[in-house]
Amino acid sequence: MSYPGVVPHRGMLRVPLFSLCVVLLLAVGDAWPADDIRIEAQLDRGTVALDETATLVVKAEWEGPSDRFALVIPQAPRVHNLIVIGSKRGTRSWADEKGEHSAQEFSYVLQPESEGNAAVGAVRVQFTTPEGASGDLVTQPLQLRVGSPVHTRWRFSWEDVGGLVVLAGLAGYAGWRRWKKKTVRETASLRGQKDPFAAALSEIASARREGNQKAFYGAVLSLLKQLTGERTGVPTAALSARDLVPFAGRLVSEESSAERLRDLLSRIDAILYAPATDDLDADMDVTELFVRNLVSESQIGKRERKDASR
Amino acid sequence: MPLDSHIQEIHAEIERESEFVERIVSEIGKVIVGQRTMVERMLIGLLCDGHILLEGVPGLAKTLAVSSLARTIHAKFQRIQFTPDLLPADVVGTPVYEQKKSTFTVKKGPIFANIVLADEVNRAPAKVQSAMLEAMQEHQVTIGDQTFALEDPFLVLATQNPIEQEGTYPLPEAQIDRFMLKVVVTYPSKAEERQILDRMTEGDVPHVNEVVEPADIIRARQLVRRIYMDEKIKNYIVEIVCATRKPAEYGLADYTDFVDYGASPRATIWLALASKAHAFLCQRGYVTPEDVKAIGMDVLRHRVIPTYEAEAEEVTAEAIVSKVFDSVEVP
Repeated sequence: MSYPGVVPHRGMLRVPLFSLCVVLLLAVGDAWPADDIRIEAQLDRGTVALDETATLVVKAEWEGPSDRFALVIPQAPRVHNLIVIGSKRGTRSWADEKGEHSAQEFSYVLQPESEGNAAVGAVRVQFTTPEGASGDLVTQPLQLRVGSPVHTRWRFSWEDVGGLVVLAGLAGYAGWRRWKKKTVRETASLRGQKDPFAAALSEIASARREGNQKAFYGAVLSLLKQLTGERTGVPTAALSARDLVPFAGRLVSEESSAERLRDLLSRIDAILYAPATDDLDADMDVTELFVRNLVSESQIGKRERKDASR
Repeated sequence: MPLDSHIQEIHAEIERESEFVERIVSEIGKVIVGQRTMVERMLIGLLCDGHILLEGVPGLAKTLAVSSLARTIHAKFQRIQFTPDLLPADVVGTPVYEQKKSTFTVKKGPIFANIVLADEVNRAPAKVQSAMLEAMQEHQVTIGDQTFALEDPFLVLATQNPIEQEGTYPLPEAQIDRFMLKVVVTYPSKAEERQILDRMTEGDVPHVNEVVEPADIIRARQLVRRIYMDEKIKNYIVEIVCATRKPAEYGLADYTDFVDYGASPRATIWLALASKAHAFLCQRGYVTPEDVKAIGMDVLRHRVIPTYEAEAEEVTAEAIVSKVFDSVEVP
């Protein structure tokens, strides 16, 4: 603004011109997208053993929503004394008091080739914006030290042999104690029903040898109740043979075996509670084999479930 | 599994003798829709010579079921409506003075029948109830100085209404114990209800025929007693009854404070007999734990007396019995 009769002084003109330049520079700067996106490359460790891997993470971060920049997946970094054995990418957005932020990460798994120094070259990441602007960013190169393998091959010395002898002695003693403890527990469990499968199987075998049908099928029912209880978590003590029929499908994997189990369960009542007969039951051998298989299958299944849960 | 000749013989006999069961059930089924359990329990009562307490709200065909059962077995049926002004003589009978002969002659009461329906038994005073319950127990009645044996078979089916308890005389525990079974009659299902509507509002009401004679029932009773019960089952029954008395010994320590009195030895006897009768209805010559479980609730629910604590906690006798069956190991 100028007033009539007043001639602007040269020094007075300098200030608005300077301000205009600053504003123009700021406007231009604001329009340059590369200033709003930061890139960084990081290794997860400075030294890596020969038999281990290191991870390089290239992270591009900017303010605003994730679609503010579109990144082109970069080529794998050039490496020295390393092999890139895997890569993955991920995007995330978050917000804090300063506003919304987004980041995109490219990670590379690096495996060293030999002991010594290794290097990771710069990674170039190209980007575009929805307004049509584009550009690229380059990370700094990184260095890595490759050390000797962690799992080294054993080299025997007389000291090692001595140590091994002592260790073997200790292991043997521990094993003997464990064996003794287990043996005592198993013997006790046969009396105290602590190990139900072993006790029931032993009872089944002994009843079959004696030809005692009622005792045999009683032990079979007891075993089936224990198996059902273990498999389903249902309390089975107060269940009868017929009550177990609906659970048959859960004790075995094959339908034919389930059908056979149902048949066995429906027969058990007649054997257990009808008057005893003198006829020898030829099915006892087959039944014993069948229930032993059930126990094995159950134990295998149990182990598999345990492994899967790990 | 081949069965020995003894059991085969019983099996064959049971098959032959229990054939009437289906005929009775199907005859009663002409007029009663559903309520299969109630009908089976009535048959078990007949086969065991035990009396039954039926509990259910009005309108569940309790009276019709009992009268139909009496008709199917060609038995003499009497119905006594218990009221507060009923007298013992109205039930058992009384000596009547005959002026012409100048002597007393006995006029027998309605209890002299094969099947007696004591409707709303809790509405009559204690003296009437005890007169009837004594007759139930002794199978005989003394009027004046004369003692009369009751008919055989003799089955009392007493009904109780669980609602409208004002002005009633609840049966004492000692007298309830004389009923072999307490059967709770429930509402029919929706489909059964619809069937009832069709049957009772269209055409003629069906007629129930006599399909068996009382003598057949008496013969079947003897057969029921011959049904084999393994030692394991006997022990199981004893364990069940003992568990109602000492729940803590059967892993039911939480229920100790809920049981005032457990089941009596009479419960043991009835549970064994009723299990045999249940096996008979299933046409089987031996008892299984399934039979004991099937009939157990009806034998025990009125014999287990819950404490006030149980009532406060809303733990019913049925809940205690059910817990007992869930806890006692099946042999």
